[in-house]
Amino acid sequence: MRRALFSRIAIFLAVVGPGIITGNVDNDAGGITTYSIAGANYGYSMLWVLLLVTIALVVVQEMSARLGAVTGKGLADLIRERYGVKTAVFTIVLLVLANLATTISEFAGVAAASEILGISRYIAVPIVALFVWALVVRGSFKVVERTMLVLVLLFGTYIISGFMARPVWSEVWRGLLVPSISHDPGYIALVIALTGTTITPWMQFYQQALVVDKGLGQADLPYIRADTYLGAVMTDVMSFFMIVACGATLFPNGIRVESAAEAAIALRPFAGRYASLLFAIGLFNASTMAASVLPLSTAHAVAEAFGFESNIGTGFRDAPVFWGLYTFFLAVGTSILIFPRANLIKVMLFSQTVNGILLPFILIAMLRLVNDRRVMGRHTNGRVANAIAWAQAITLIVLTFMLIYQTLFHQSSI
Amino acid sequence: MRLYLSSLQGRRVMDAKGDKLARFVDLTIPTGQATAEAKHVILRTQEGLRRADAHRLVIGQEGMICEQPYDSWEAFDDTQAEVRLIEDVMDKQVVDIGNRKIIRVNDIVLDYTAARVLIRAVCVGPTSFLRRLGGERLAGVSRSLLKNRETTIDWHHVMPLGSVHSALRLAVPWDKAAAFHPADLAMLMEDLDSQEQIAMLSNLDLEKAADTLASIEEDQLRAAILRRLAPEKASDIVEEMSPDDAADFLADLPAPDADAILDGMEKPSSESVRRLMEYDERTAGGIMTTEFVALPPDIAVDEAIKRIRAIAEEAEAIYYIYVVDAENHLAGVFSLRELIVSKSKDLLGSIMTEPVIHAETEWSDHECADLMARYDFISLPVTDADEHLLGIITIDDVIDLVMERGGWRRRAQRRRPA
Repeated sequence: MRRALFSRIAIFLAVVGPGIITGNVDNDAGGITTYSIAGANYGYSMLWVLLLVTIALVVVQEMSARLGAVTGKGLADLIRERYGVKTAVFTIVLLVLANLATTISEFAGVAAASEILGISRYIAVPIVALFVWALVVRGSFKVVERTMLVLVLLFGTYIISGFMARPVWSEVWRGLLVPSISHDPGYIALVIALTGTTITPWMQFYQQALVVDKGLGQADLPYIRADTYLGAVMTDVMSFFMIVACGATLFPNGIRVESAAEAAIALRPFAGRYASLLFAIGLFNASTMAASVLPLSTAHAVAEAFGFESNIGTGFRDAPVFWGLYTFFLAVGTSILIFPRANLIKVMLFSQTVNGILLPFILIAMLRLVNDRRVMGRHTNGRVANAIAWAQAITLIVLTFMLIYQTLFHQSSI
Repeated sequence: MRLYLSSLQGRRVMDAKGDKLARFVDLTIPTGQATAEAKHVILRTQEGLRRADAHRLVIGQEGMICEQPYDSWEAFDDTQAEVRLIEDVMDKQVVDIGNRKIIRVNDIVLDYTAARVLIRAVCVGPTSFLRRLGGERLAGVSRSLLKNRETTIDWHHVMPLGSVHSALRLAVPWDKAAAFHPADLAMLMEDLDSQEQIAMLSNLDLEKAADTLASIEEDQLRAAILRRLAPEKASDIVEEMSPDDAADFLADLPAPDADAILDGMEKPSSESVRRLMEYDERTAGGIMTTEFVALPPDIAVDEAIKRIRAIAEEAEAIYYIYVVDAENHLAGVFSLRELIVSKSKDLLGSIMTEPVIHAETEWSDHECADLMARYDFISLPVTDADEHLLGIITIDDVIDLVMERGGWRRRAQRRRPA
């Protein structure tokens, strides 16, 4: 019994990674911004939404990890094989556009965070770009994964700033467990944004690609699930503390913020200089991780769908399209240095909109793939899982359409 | 008439009377026969999928008619052992072994003559991709702009690998592919999906599979493949490897998985692998192999040659033969050349060189590489602190380190004429 337990732990440690990395990268610059605004503007009243979104995230990510483990193929690959050239091109074009815009906003996050930490953006942004480029181009799969897992630990800064904000815990629990719905249009917009920023299409592509690259198979499914659950829960625990930190300090004092960087600065007088710094470090770290992951995930998907070489372990000369695209993304990301700030907000809105258009297609494609016996064999969804997944897909689709409507017609949304 | 399969997809098909309506879904060919003729056409009707004889299909300019009466269309289900062209071949991958590439099937060329639908070739490359995306106009752009002529692979050269529905096909017959060098096969393996890697490996004989696996550059990938193979199969393949390679590879696996593979191996070989796994992989012990030739000092040359002949099959390197005393202490060394030019009655003790330059198990791999580079050794004996011979390091185990150290690349470049 003891031995069996140990060998299970050993296998888990070998399998762990894809879920935790994908989950944590999910708390990127856009995510942190949304959570900060949620906490500052609505206190703890949005925590219950976070709880529901976590469940949705788990269901979606588990399906993509399972698709990867059973088929050994990436999502773009499967979409191409099952739905043909046109669907694949359509999906990939949207994915590239959305991810490019998101990458730009990650670099904006790097710039903002580094300036709070007293480093000029003209130094920080190029250094980060070079760092992530070198990490992936020069490092092996293992190095990339391990670096990511270490960076994940830095998210702990949010937990510390959450505690430093000295929240009233009884109110926090009530916010988490008792749903409260406000008819304030800003509140509804934020609920939608929170969902949209937590469940984004690149995550399904990325986690599935990681599972495939790691060579995990059907026998690993229990461990892959555990990894996915852990990743989603970790992510949302961090999000929880971000909302708590802002909800305990900024909200009671009526301070409204519009970005994560503003929140970090605003925290200073209430939670202390260190809480504010930790918040900024968290933002810097999150943006850096996402800035390296998004270009990678995109290049992967493109290479896969169109049949170019796609293995991260091969060199530049063997996979020019893959590495070319990767480098292009980073270069565009660094271009935020010459962007005026107003345009950056447009870029964020753009990425939100494109992600919103893309998500329904991805969810439906995934659900059909995961229920296809020719693809999944005996690992298709059970009836209950399907009911939950479809209900949730429909809810998400409705929410994202509302989000697109909001972003297009009410610029005030976020 | 030459046509593309993609142009039929989803098109209308009428029955002979012209009143029943169906949509074209797919064409099938029988499995296991060397035929290029489509057998059935799969149609979507209001009552579900049906199949009809392909030779009753009339393809005209205006549309398709199936002359087989609607009543005799059979229900179609996926379990029927036929290969479906759109489902199983289109958009799937083909391994072009000759050019060492994995390519995707963008379309399939059919030849429709005298009520027979023949499969001619699969289309790969940008022109057919663009045709799928935007019809002949985009395909034309590709032809004029990219100067890309339609690239096709003859249907007779497209062979399934593994099961009939396997998504992977080869652009040459499998027996020819299996004759490829393991290093080439390994390179292809690196680009395949995980299921296909297993399928390909399972189709090779054990020795070839072992060599192919050993030639894979990426540790991570190799470990993943080993874990996904059925444990008995993995044990069989690992048993074919030299113990030092096996130990290295198994060390990359989670301990329980490595144990399961070792448990399935024959006792003597699994034991030597287990012993090697105890050493740190960056030390002499970690890179040495236990397959070497050691002989006592008091036998004669002709006897030695007889013994070497008997064990040569098993040993990794026989160019150097080591001489050990009764307690397995390393006493001397001689080369195969020295052995052959000696008189047949000479005792090994008299022809051997001593003392022997050797490494100890705890030495780093860099130190070993340095030694081998300095003395131009192709193998280096490894002993414990008491000079018991435990294994040898062969040049292939340290070649990367030797090249790094000697600035081999730089020198090779300098030699090139300007």
